[in-house]
Amino acid sequence: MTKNEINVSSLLYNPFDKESLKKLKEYDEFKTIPDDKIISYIILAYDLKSDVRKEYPSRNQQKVEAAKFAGFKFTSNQFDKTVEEILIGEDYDVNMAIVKYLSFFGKPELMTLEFLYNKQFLLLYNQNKGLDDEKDSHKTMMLLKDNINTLTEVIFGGSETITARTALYDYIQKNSTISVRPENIADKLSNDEPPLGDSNPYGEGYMPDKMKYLGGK
Amino acid sequence: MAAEYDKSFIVNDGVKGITPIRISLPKPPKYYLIAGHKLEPEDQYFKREVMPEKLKSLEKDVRDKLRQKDREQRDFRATGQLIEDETWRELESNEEYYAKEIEWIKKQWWHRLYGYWFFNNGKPTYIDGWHWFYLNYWPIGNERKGSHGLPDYRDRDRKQFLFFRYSFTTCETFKNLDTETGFAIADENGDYEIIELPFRVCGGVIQPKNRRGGNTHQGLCIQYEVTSRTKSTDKMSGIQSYTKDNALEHYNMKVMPAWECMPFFFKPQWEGDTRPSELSFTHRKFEPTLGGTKLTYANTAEATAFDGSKQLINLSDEEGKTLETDIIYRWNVNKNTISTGDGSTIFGWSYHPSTVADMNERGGMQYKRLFEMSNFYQRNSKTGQTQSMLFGLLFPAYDGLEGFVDKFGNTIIDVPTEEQKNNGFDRGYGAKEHILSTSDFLLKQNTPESLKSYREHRQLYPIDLTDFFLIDSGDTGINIQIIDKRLGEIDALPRNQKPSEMFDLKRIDPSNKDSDVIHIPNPEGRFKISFVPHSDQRNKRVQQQVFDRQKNAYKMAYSPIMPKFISCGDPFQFNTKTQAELRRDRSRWSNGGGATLRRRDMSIDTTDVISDWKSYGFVCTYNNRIAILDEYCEDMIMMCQFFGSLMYPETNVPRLYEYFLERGYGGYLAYGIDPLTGKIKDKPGFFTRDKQKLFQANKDYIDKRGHVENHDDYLMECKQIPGIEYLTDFDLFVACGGCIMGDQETTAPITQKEVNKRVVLSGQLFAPYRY
Repeated sequence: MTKNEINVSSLLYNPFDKESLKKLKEYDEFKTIPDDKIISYIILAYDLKSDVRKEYPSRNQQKVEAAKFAGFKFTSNQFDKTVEEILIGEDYDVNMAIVKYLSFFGKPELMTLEFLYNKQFLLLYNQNKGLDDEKDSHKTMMLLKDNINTLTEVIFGGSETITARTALYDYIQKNSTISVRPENIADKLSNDEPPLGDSNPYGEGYMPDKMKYLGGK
Repeated sequence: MAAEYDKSFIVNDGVKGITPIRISLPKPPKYYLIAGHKLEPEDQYFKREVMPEKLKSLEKDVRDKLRQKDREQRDFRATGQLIEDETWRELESNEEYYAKEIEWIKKQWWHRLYGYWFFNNGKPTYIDGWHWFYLNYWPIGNERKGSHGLPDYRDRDRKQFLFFRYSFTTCETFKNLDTETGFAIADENGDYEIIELPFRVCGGVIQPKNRRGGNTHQGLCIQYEVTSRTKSTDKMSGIQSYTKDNALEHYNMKVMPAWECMPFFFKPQWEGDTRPSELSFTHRKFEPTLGGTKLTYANTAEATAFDGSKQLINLSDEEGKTLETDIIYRWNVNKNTISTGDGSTIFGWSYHPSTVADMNERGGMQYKRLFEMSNFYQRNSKTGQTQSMLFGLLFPAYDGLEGFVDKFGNTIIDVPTEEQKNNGFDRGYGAKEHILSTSDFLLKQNTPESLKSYREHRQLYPIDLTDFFLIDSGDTGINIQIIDKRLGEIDALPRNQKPSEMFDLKRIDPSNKDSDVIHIPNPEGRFKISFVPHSDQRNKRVQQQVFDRQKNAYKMAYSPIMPKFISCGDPFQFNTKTQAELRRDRSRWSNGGGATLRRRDMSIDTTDVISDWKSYGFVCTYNNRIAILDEYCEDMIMMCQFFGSLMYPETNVPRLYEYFLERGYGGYLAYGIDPLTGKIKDKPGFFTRDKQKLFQANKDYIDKRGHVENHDDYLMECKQIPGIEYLTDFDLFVACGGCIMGDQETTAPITQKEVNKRVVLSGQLFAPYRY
């Protein structure tokens, strides 16, 4: 799939149109996003109708490809440190923007997550300012963290907040060019290793079932 | 809304004489990931992969650059290996630029290894990786415009490749097997219980086929696919055919052109120049000490060609044409090249396609036997393997017949549907009718030329199992037109109206070996019966004094009363359990044949026109592989007792008539009259050394009675026997011929008047009755 093949008309916002991005920036959550490429990335990776989500079955692959389409530099199988943090969910501001974007799709769990993020933010803010008036603020904080983790797993799929960096680079490593040489495929097959890493045109983990005899009729 | 995907496919279907095999299909992925999901059903059909322009340019640019350098620099040579290597280097050093192309290559690899899904006329359809590789990367010289020489998608090929994969991976066998014959036993609903063994059970596929099916190319393609992606120091894949020249031709004319067209990402490094004498793949670039796999051909058709090798994929092409060697022996040698531990661990796979119309007598008969040894439903209880370690596969000629395949690759077998007509199919009939109407037309002409053409047409376009082994050895003289017509009539009858059915014959009191015999319906039974005598006519016998010449004394023995039937048994060689057990290879067991003929009843058939008779014809046939000869002999006694029939045995193996004597059934034995002396012969029955006479008996019977014969198993043997030299392979043919000869050579047909005459025993041994 090329950048031109992406059907932008089905998306809520056009990731490659400055005017469209400008509209998104009217929301508070997007005002803090320093680079339009990040907004493009959010649209491409998180819009429920994004072709990137359809074309690339693996979640990590979707993120990598969305970041590339958004225009982030990808050299020697690596992104810059800041982009890497965005992809693995370590940038708080971007996470908030993602939650906001997801809220446009009217999914209750997305809204809840947004609320939890805001609540968490407020707690932290008050603690830092010495304005903590909640009796069990620590307990509340832990509860919030658990809920956020659970919901993040539901929304983003998988335990990527925990192992995101490993998974992302595992994906990149497994799918580097060298592995598609016939000699490398043979090598991996002989060692019972998955010869193509996570790459799978039918979605992560899909394999045709083994055929079985059913009868003589 | 997309149609539901197929949950299974079926092979060996629509071929009379063989049991179909139904196999499950994989569940599909999410529909939006399947090729063609965005298209309308009429636009959904198989489409080949299109290589991205950037990759095409990459290959071309590198090649042009190196060839230019080759021209300019004397000490530089642009070898094929260097071009491939440089292409990879270029790709790897520009990963970002080629990122999408690399993803595309990965997809190609995935489909090659695991298969491909596409929407076909609204239905999610799965094809195996071998099939996908064949369709996209194995040119076969297809001249259709736009095909680029690549094969067209055919649904028949889909089933074939899926079955190949099943045979390559399955560890399944039947839980319940007949302890003697190894045949799978179905439950009351006709279902089989399956168990999974911890090892593979099949070493390949044997497939009689008609011409132009592309089977040789398919076998070669699988060889390349597996060999070129396997890392091994000692394994290879070999092509063997009916002559060394033919194997070499396959390599030069089929493998080499395909390999030359192969894109760089499916072409591992190799040894030799741009047209090597064998494809030896090497991993030395990565591991200098490691050798590689190779794809090569045999320099001889002999069994020794690959002896001692370890084969990944073996292709044994056109075995039915082989004259230079015994192909069963050759396969027994090659079996050990695809497996270890006397076949206990199968690591390779072997494909045995052979063109029906090209089979000769020798190779054809051996090929037929190898096919019979590959019965999916007959397994070794321990290994789960068939006798040959192969599975037999057949497609009727109408499946995939050119001119009757729609754009979705499906064969229009019967009357075309409106949708098929709307899609451009302009005939009012399907492939099956096309073939059958040609046969019928030739039959109706009824000239020597048209009848010869009829036989040739059946060979070229086989539909029934018998057609697949209609080995051409010149004219046997047996009228197969009559047989085909009668087989067609029998075939068209509903299952509950077939003229003959399977039964077991058992003693009513198992503890009394001379008690009455009863018949019990059993689809897996040993006796095929078309006429059951009235209950008061069964088991009619007397015990009386007969002369035993061996003991030179009179002895009490059972005799039939007023026998209206004559039977024949064609026994086999082994007679003890120990001997049978020593012959572990069931393939070397011979069948025991038997038949009972109802003799002309002159009270019913008064005219001399044989073709008009109502009473005359076979009523029972028996053709079973039994381990112990005495058990077979006991079956023959029960058959004679049940029908009240004389036994006119084939006596090359004397055990059958000796057994009758030992068991006290000497009165059932029938004796011929020596034509030279006019005396009754010393021994009962006949020798098959008089082959011409036996052959003639069957031929005459088919001419006069074939049109009403009720035993299709006998008709099929008459159709299949290629010549007089093959009598030993056609036990039922011999047994039925023996009945006919016995009817002519022993006593005169029974008449109503004669029935009441007193029975007189005479002759030097146990002479036939005289009336």
